Amino acid sequence: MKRTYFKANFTIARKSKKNILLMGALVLFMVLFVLVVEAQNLGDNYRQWRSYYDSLEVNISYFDSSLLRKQEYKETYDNLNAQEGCIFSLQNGEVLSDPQTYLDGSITLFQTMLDGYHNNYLGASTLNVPPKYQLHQRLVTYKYLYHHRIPAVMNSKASATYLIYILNFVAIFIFFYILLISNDVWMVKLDHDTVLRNIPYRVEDEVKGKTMINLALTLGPLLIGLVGAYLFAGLRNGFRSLNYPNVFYFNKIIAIPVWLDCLLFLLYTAVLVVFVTSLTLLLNQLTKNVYLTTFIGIALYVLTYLPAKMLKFIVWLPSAYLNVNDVLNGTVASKTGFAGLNLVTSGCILLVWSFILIIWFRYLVNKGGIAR
Amino acid sequence: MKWRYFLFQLKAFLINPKNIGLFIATVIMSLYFSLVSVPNRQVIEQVDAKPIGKEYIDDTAFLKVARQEIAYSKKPGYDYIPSKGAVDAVSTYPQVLSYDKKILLAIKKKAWDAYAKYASARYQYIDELIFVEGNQNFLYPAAYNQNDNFKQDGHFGYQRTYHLYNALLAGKKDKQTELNKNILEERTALQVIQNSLSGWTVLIMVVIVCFFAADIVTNDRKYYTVLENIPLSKRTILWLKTGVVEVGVLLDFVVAGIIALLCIAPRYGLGSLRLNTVDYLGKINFKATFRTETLGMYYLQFIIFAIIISFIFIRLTILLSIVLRNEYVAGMLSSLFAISAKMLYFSLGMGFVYPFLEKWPMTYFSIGDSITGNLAYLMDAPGWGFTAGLGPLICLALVIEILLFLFTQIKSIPLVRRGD
Repeated sequence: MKRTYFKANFTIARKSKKNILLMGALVLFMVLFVLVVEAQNLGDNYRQWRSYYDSLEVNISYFDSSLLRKQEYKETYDNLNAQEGCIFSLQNGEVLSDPQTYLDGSITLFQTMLDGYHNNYLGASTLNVPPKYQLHQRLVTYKYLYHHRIPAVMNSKASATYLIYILNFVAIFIFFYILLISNDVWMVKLDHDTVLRNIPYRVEDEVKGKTMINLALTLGPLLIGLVGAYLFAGLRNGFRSLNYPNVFYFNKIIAIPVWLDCLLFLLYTAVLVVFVTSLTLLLNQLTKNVYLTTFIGIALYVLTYLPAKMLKFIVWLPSAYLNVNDVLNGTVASKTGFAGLNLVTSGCILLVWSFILIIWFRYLVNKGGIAR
Repeated sequence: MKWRYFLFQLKAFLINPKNIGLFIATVIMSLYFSLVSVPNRQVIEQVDAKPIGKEYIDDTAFLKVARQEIAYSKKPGYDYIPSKGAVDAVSTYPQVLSYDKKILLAIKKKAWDAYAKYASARYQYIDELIFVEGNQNFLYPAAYNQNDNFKQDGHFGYQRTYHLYNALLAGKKDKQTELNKNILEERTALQVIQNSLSGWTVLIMVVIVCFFAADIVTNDRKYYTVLENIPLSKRTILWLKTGVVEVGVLLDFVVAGIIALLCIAPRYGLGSLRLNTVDYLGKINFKATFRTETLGMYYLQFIIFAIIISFIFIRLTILLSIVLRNEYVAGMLSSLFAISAKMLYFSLGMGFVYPFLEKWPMTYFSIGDSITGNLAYLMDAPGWGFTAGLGPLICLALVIEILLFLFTQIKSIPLVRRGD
């Protein structure tokens, strides 16, 4: 009975027009977005460097022509000149097609840029310097490339770099995908109460079954999308090693190969599916409405956009852990100031919440039945 | 019969839990916008005596040093070439300092006309120095840098401020619209709403319209036996349903607007529809061109676009829900269509490379971007404004109407089926 019931539920979910649209849209988006990246030069490192170099030049000239108006600007001035020297060095590596010189120059440049934060770039008001944590992220990536002798790719359209680009992008909104897949998870039961009431199936098994279905509907398209993205971008713009690094946060910012990053992303997404399924089961039971379930879910996510000083007071809520990208690259830890908030602790918090929500859901079902 | 059906549908619309949820969401967003977002909004060109005074002292001291350097170089028998910074300072600082002095005096006396006059002249002068003459003694504020193109972004920002102050001064002369600090900083309720009604804000509002309309047809399943034999044609029913959603959307956005006005106006003033504003027309003959118009004209254009776009999305969602027989899919597809342009091609210079994008209706869904001319700047090509957008939007509306007409002609496609 259990197997038949699960199969029936899975077929309903798989054949739902909404779910077909979502799965199709996710796969197509992940594979074809490379065309947009190509057209708009998104993630083009050369463009970013040129822009930074321009602003560096202007600020150095400003100090030059103003005869170092104040002595406290001297530290900034020296730092900017040192940065300019590093850029020349990495440009040499680029012109002479020497990847190691290029990487060496880049690493020194990032370190110099970080040093500039000693006096917060006093006086260089229009310098486009990236935030500190972003510089740390780039530094570990370039160090990884240098140590593993992998040539840097300066765009986001080659197979491995596009995979990183799309992975980081999808990780931001995957919560919405799961929410939309799962927002009617319990409505089938509520809508067909008379038919399904007497089927001998326990609430625990229902929860397990629904979770399994949502895992299949999420991880399946994601896996297809990731493989498709790698292959399609590779066929168009050349293949690169899957050992190309991406930033990852555990107890400090490190770089890991993209294949491992994909695995960790899928693992955390699986935990997120468990949480979202338990959340939508409860909200379906409480509101008896798909849209209200969706809106409340979105409201929970929107809480992550609260100012950082408020965010640290709601770390016990699941909200901070719904943006997978922020969890994996350490933004959650950086924003809240709690260094221990990494993939493992975030996953544990979501699982604890899932457990609480399921207990609550079971209580409601046992107490009030499933009549709509 | 029509009226009774309309009232029945309107009642069902207003008590629908999804629509109540959307109403509440809009109210919360409006409150967040007025109470959190607006007070924390960064005004780049603040009307503030402190930073100007500090710069005045700094520049005066530097000018003194520069003059000494020049005098030293002119001493007979000395082979000394003065620095470029010193030469530039001697030729440009006196003018800038004279503007600063007048600006500081105007702030002290709260003479806002004088402030606008001298600040406008100062922005124009410094912009000319930086952008045309490449003078390196001055920099554009970093906050203008939006597109990794700080010189262009700064030039656009200074030119806009220069033209805005002139436009406000002209409005004062022609229409007697008094100036004050909040008007100059564009903080009054009508000005701040004008500047915020673009980009993702408007697109979220369009998505709300899609979800208001998503179940307007499919909801009839609940009253199938009641509505089965209603003596109204399919097209009439769809027009009445469109009217119901229009009323709901109007009610929702008017309430949100009133909340915003009530929260912002007591603090910063309401502003006036007769106040002048500027919209960017693009680079014509290599010169950034701005046009002056009143806020009233801006809002009129905005409302015309808003009516056409909400009509398009209501009818499109209805069409999709009839064809696909699924409200969620209809809502999601029309929402994806709404955000498609922003996701796919709203990037600096795309219009210069792909000029045909100007003819695509999706380009204009974010409304404010095109009416203020910010889209012309982003696309790096003249046009992309109100008149350019009307044609594509009306064409799209007509295509949707033709498709709806065709689908309602097919008898085998009912609006709702018993088993849906």
